[in-house]
Amino acid sequence: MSALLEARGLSAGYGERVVVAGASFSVSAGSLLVVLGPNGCGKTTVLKTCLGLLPPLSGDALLGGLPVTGLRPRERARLAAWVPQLAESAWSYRSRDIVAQGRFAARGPFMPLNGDDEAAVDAALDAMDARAFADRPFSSLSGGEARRVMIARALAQETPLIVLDEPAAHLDPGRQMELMELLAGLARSGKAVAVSVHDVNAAKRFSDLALLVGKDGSAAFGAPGDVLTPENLENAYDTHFIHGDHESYGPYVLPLSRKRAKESHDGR
Amino acid sequence: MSKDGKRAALAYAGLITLLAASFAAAIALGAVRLSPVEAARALLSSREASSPRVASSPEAIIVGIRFARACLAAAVGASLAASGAVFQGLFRNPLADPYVIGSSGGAALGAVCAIAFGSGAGALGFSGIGLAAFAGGLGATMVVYLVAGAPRLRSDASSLLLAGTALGSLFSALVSIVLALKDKDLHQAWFWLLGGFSGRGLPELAASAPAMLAGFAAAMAGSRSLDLLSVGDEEATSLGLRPAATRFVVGGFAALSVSAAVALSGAIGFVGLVSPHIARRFVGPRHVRLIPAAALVGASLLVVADVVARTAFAPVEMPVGAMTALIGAPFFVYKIARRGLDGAR
Repeated sequence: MSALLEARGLSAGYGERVVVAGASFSVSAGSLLVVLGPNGCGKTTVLKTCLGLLPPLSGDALLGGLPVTGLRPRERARLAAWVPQLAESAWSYRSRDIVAQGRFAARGPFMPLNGDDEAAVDAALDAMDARAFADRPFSSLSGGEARRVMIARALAQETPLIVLDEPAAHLDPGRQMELMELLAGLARSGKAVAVSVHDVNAAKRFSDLALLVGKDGSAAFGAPGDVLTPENLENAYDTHFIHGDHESYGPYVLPLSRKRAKESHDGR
Repeated sequence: MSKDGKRAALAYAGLITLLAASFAAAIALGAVRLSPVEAARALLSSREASSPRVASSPEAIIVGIRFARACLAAAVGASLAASGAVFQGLFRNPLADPYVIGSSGGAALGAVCAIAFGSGAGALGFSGIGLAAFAGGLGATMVVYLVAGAPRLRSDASSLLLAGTALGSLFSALVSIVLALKDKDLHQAWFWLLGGFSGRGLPELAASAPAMLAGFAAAMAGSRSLDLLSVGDEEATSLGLRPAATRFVVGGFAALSVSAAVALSGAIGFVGLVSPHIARRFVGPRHVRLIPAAALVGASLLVVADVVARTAFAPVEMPVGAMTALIGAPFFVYKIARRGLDGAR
């Protein structure tokens, strides 16, 4: 299966400042890639660079096998949908209008939306259980509702790849599980999904692939069991973890305490 | 039809009625007051009397003049309001108005130079002053685009806004200098700067109409792109839009329309700022509905403002730009105080 999203020795950052150096990873149809790493390590930066929203500093980012820098925005938007972390809209558009924005790339700027587009919007709203607030102003929604509308917009885009930036932030545990189950379901239905998360246990449990970005700009990629090892996690987060094995959940980790500055220095 | 669609249709019906009522007022009111029946009869007879051999009644002449002037006011109001909606959308900024990227400052400079240093005979149906204003408005927009598009500025929304504001101030300064040097022209220039419709008629409107229509057509063609810009440049890019190109093309056509409007009537303020906000309350923020609704609101507002300008202190005619603010500002402040700027929140 050819990769829908692929980074080859990709360095991402802003101008002179390299945030992530030499990352190589890929995700294909039917797979869920989780991206982990401490705050500020560059998870968002590397994902945006893969989508062509930031220029790569070096290396290659490919969407659907094509260099992302050579694609026009509309071509990219038909290959990959982006769900940003913070969503706000000027003016009080209804939630349904926000979801309908996902049809721009398919329909083009000048043609009015047709019945197919309306059907795609309705299907996306249904998939996210967002019909109830479809006619409410987007700005009036709760954080969780707004997140669902944003994902519905990505679904309405009908792309083979969906990339989400910390979609679980500010969700309660139940909603977090619901979200991860939904993303795993999308992957099972044949989409490629890349998502940055902070919940290590959920990441391990639901993903097929993992990318662990370190605060030093390194990026480890592979099967979740190989990448999200106790040592790697302790190094990446500068934090002690407890490891356990629950009879029905399986292996899990719990953060125990932050490593002291000196201690973490010795650890390297 | 959906509930939302029915509401919009109702709103449009209301706005069209409003415009018709403002036209009726414009024809009936003035130094010679006409009853609606007289006005209608005169309007019809003026059509029949188009052959020169049949003498028109005085009423028919008055109605013809007032009707032409209302058409002018409506066209300028519609152009400014639609462009205001475009610029507010392009910059995601409720304070943006049609002059935000420098077109009024440039047009004023062009017009004042033409008044002070003498203008050519005019061309393409424009007066000499109008042509200078049109060229000044478009030229200013181009300069703003060039400055904001400089490599380190990347033509994003805030660099365009800053360049427009800075160059607008520069043009105002130049206008002041020209007026100080040529103070005998002060009165004529002052009246032009405040905006008005006296002495202009349908031929001038015909000259400006193509640019105004082009601006409106581009705004409608870009309506879904404007919707996408509401979520910010980066997100809009991820959805398939080119934000900088959109601002360049749609904003350029809007500036063309504004320059034509300013060439016709001088730089009339407030209509372009307030009409989109009023329209948004009636039809919501989607630009495909907002832009025509804003145009209807702007047309009605300016026709009414011109009636007030003609009649309130007759026989002295007030500058219509002052009247738009006089009518619009209290209404706008009242609306904001009651419901907040964005209505639905």
